[in-house]
Amino acid sequence: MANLSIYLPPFSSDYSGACSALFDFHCLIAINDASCCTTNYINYDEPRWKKHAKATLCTELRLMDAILGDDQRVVRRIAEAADALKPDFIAVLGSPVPALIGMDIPGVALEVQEQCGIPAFGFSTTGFSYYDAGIGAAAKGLLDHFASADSAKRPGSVNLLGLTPLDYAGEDSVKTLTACIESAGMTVNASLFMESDLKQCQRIGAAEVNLALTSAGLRTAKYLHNRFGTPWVAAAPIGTRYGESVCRMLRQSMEDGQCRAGGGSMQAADRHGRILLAGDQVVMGSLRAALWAAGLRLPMDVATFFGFDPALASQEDVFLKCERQLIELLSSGRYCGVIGDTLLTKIPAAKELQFLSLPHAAVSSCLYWDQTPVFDGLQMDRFLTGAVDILSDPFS
Amino acid sequence: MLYKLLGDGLHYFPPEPERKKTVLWIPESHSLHVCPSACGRRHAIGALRNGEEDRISFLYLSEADVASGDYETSIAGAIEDLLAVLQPTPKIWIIYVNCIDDLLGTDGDALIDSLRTRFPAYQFALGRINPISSEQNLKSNVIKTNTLYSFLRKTDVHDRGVNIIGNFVDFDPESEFHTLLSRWGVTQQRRLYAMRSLDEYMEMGQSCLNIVTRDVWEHSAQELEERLGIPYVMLSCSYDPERIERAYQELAAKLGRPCPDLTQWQESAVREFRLTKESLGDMPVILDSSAVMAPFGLARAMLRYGINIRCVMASRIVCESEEADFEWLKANSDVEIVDSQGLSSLLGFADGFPGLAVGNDAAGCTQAAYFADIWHDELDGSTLIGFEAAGKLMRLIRQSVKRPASIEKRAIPGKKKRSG
Repeated sequence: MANLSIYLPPFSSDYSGACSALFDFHCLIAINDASCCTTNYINYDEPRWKKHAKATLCTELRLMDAILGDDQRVVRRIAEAADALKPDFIAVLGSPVPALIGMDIPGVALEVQEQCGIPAFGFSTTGFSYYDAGIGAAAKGLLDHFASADSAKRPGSVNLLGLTPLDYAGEDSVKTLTACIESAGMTVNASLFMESDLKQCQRIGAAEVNLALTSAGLRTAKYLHNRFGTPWVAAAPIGTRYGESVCRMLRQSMEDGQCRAGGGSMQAADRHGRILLAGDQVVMGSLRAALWAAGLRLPMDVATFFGFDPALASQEDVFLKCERQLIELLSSGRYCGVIGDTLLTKIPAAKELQFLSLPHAAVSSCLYWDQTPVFDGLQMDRFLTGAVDILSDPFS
Repeated sequence: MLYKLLGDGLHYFPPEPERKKTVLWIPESHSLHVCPSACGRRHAIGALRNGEEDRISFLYLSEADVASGDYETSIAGAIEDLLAVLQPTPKIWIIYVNCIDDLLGTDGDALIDSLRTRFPAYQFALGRINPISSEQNLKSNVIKTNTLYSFLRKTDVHDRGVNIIGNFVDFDPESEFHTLLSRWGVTQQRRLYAMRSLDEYMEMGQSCLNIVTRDVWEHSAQELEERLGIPYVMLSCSYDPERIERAYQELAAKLGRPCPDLTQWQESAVREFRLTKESLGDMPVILDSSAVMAPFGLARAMLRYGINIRCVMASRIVCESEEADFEWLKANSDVEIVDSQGLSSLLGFADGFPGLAVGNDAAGCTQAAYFADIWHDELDGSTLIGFEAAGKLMRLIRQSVKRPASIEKRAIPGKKKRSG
């Protein structure tokens, strides 16, 4: 049964991805739903909710509003809240019911904008797609409006793209990524979407190169390449050694203007079985490269439920359409080990394999997000060394 | 049944406090949620937190499924797949649909009939989780609770057991409620969350009375009375000694027994209110609906004893008695009534309320000087009930004003710092 999920929870949705992306901005976010979608996001997809006041609000959509198409009620409520909060901009998000009835979310946003004079964006999130789609949509919406068309290039500068706690829940992720970039003599021009602000959006075109840290970030990087000609590197600086490799790729792309993807396949003989890396395609592709750099000489395949770019994939990499497909992979006998979110251990077939946990907030939510390692630096170096030791030993 | 939102603006949801959330399950059952993937996330994470993940699975609807309606035919296949892996095999299946189904209009009866035909060894029911219909006849939780009791069967023989409907944890063992039930010949209190097997659950059909402790569950009791002939009585947690007395009298009548003299307990509860008034003096008090399910009723009771209720924070009115108390407060008092989830209301609070906040939401939003920590009429792991409830709450309040509050500030978006 294709769409049946027995062991894994539903993943973070597109509206959660959009909300997460917009969290750092002084904006009003109105999720058009009855309350469950809003509480899904704030309680299970936003590690920052407890510490920061954020105007992510619920329109309390009701059946009669939906059936009668009473958009004006939604518009009025949002405009009233905007009047109280005076945000820099407003984001209106959809959920399954508005998607089903064909509510014109961008149209609602336009009416809100006309009523209160504040820029308003409508994101047609549906709750049927995953978080990476929402992050990408939020990025495009913001940058379409706020990115300055004529930013002079800042030499040696890098944009960090696709960064949210849904993939980078480790504390101080931005700090360590920035340190990695700066240690290679470069500077961070913008960090989307952690520690972000509108000024960064305005000068986004000034960077010499974009670093796409996730598949959502790659989507944004391609948009910026089309708009500003900025080359991109799709890689996550995982661990010290691979982090240095990523910085070299950034330098190369600055020099030759070419786009690059880290994490391609490494040639290794399939003697003792393969390793499955399950998670975001860019992150796991980079983990593959980092493990190789750390000395792991087993074939490694990336599997993802989320954004999948065939151009980044190795031959055996796979886009997972459903849990059953993952179960079939794990049961196939081809793999001796797997690295992925902790909840993958709920799958019986995964218990037969060597398993290394790498929490992914978009999967396991608040259950393990405080255990997510910071991808760059010593914590990850220890993880990589340990992984090489465990996975290299066919009898472990 | 009543369900009304108080405010009409956008709603702000504060962070959830760190408390275990009990989820009610029928023993030996499995819940299959048929919904867009986003909708099921909180159910799944909640189940994982409680170690109950084997009780729940998800059949995701895609936009194509919604357009074609084909998802209904997928449900049987999903059950087959689940039967192949679930150990032990569930005997009862609840198919849950969500908000969008109010618009899709799944023929639930036909669906359940088809499943029963295909899987005759198992029992099925359809449940709805649809807050989008909150202001319609039935709140979504009501539909869910109806489903939870829908498998009970009519029996000709009833014992002297009672079903407690509406609790998530046991009643306070120190409450006079247990003494009274015993005097009235009640042999056991059956609670869904305490049932360990399907057979034990089915014994709930033998009870002689349903005692309903939260108004949102009244519809379930009405349905059981109609279908199984089990009468019910409402015994919502009230802190008003007069109302408690009336509720016990009604309970005794339903059990066919005389109600004893309750004066001793009642006077004890009244004494607790008076002691609390002495202790608080004119200190202002804010009550909120996270503390008690009937904050308007509590406010009215406390006002009677001269306690200075400054404000009640609530986001909705959940029953007729609360509506009556709400109207009474508006007409007869200066108590400010505030939508606890309404952004404009929350922005109106100054920081540093120089009084007592009863409830987490009030304390967090106002940074009150004192805080009485009670959650949904539950204290120290038990549900408060009866005169002892009033006593315990009053004693909690008196204890709470002996030391300054220590509660995390709840940052409200857009709220500027100002003192109250």
